[in-house]
Amino acid sequence: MSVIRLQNISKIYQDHGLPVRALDDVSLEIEAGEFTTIVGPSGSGKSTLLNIISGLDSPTSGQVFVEERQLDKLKSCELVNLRLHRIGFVFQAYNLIPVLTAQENVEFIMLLQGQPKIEREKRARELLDAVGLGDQMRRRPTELSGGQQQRVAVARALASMPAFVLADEPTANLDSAAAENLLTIMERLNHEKGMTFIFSTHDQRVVKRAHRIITLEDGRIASDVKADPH
Amino acid sequence: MLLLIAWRNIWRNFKRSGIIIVSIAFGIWAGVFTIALSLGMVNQMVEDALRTYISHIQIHKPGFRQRREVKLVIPAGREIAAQLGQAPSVQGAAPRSVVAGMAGSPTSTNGVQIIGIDPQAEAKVTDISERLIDGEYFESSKRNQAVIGKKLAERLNLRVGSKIVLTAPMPSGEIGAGAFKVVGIYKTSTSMYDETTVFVNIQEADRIFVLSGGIHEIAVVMHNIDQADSLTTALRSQFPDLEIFGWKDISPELAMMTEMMDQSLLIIMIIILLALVFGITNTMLMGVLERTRELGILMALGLKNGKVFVMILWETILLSLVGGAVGILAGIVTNALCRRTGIDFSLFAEGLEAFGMAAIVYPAMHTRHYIIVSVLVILTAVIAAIYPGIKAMRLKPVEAIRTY
Repeated sequence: MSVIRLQNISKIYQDHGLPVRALDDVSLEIEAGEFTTIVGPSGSGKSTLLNIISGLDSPTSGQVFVEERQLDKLKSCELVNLRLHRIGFVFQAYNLIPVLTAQENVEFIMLLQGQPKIEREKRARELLDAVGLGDQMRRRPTELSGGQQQRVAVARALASMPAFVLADEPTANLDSAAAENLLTIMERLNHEKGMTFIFSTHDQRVVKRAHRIITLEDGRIASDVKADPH
Repeated sequence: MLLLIAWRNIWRNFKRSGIIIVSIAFGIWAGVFTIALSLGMVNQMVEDALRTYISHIQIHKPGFRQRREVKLVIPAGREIAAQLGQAPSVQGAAPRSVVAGMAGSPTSTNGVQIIGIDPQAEAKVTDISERLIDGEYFESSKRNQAVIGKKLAERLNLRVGSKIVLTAPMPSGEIGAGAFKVVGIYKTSTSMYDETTVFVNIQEADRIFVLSGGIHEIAVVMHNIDQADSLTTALRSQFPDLEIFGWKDISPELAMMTEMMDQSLLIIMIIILLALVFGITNTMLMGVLERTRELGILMALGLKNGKVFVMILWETILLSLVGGAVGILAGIVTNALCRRTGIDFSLFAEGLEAFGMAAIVYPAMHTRHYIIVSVLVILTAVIAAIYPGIKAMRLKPVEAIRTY
């Protein structure tokens, strides 16, 4: 069963009164357990595609299905709940809550889900251990390096036990070692837990590890190939 | 955790939060001090009036309060006063004869109220004996003694030891007159009272104005003023032929002033807080605009609009409570310090005394006023949070993340 299904998605923005076609008749399916990258030059529609998959943005035409639920049929609170319970986010700029510690950042999603305190603390510790930050739990984001912050963001994305994780250029602000480290963690989670990852990226290090590479050009899918990760 | 985030967010921009906290604290302090000062003035005025001439309950023959006719005496008034004085809830009950007459000295005359008192019983009811600025209270061994107010002494050019002639109509319609020696001069906080009230011994008033043992008034003071209403009701059923009034009926303007003061002070506090609303809203709005991206991320992650509003609301309430607490504490300390010595308004003493107010004011504030101020601070915070809160909850996550 596909976790994500897009049917003839188009997105047209108005930019100073002029229409800009960000996505043009995009259709694709992503199966559970995939480690997929969406690549393409700037302005090709990668981030727009991720926003539409997550329900943060709506398409001008076409339908989006997440676990066979059609997003445009959901009420706004149902959409919020879907994001909260079924989708994990990793952003380019980490976007952790600066006033919370690493552990509290990871717990925050579970708190919104209404999980009990003991469960939240246990799972936050496990996840931070899994991303190699078991000894940094009490530190706030400003006390962590970029790579460490992004690993906290991955732990936060996984805290809600999502159906899939959307990662928008997760390695863009990281040095090579931090990027490799992060990708190894995500790859391991994909192998061991069957977690589905969808990346939008320019980074060849990510592309090399992907099982599937979708290339966007001018808002259209230029290629969609299975790959052997190196 | 929303509360935790809100609390920590306040201190992210220490300087900005600090400035608004100081503003709130200063506004609240000013409000609290103004309230305490005003309440102190009014409380003193009421207490002075009650302790000096009104007392808590007054008993008269019907019609006496309106017409002041000398023949309207209370039958067996002295016995009733003595009996009331024994009641456990009563601090003192004093019989009085009250006649309107003239006071004359070799140089001038003045219209006065001549009050015949039992000096010992009266000392339990009024504090004239404690307000003497010259001479002494009545001495049992001497006859025809009078205690007069400072203003009257000045007007009639009298000193302790001077002679004063008191004339007043008698129940028969004839005019009675007697010469008295000024033994004491008192001063209250009401100059008008000091100018128009002369105290003499009730036995001598009875003899000179031929009152035949009758008295016109019984003044009662309770140990606890709150019990005055219940005793008034009980006395009304016990003495249906007499007119019995509590202090609020005797001096409705004082009662009204107390109530009006509460409302006026509430209005002053609301005005101060309304002015603060704009500052708090501005600070919160800057916080929201500065954190637009962060709020967008939180909403993208699954924080519902309502909770975004609640987070901003908590932040505003906590910010205001910190300022409010500092302001209230500063107010409590200032009030306590000023209560020790009082605040001296001697420069305006003459004007204040014309209104029955003392020149030295002791700030006073009840716990309920502090509670009201605290509730108002929270209400202010809620009002101040509305606009920034709505602004935050209306953010579109995708735009907030993309634009900021």
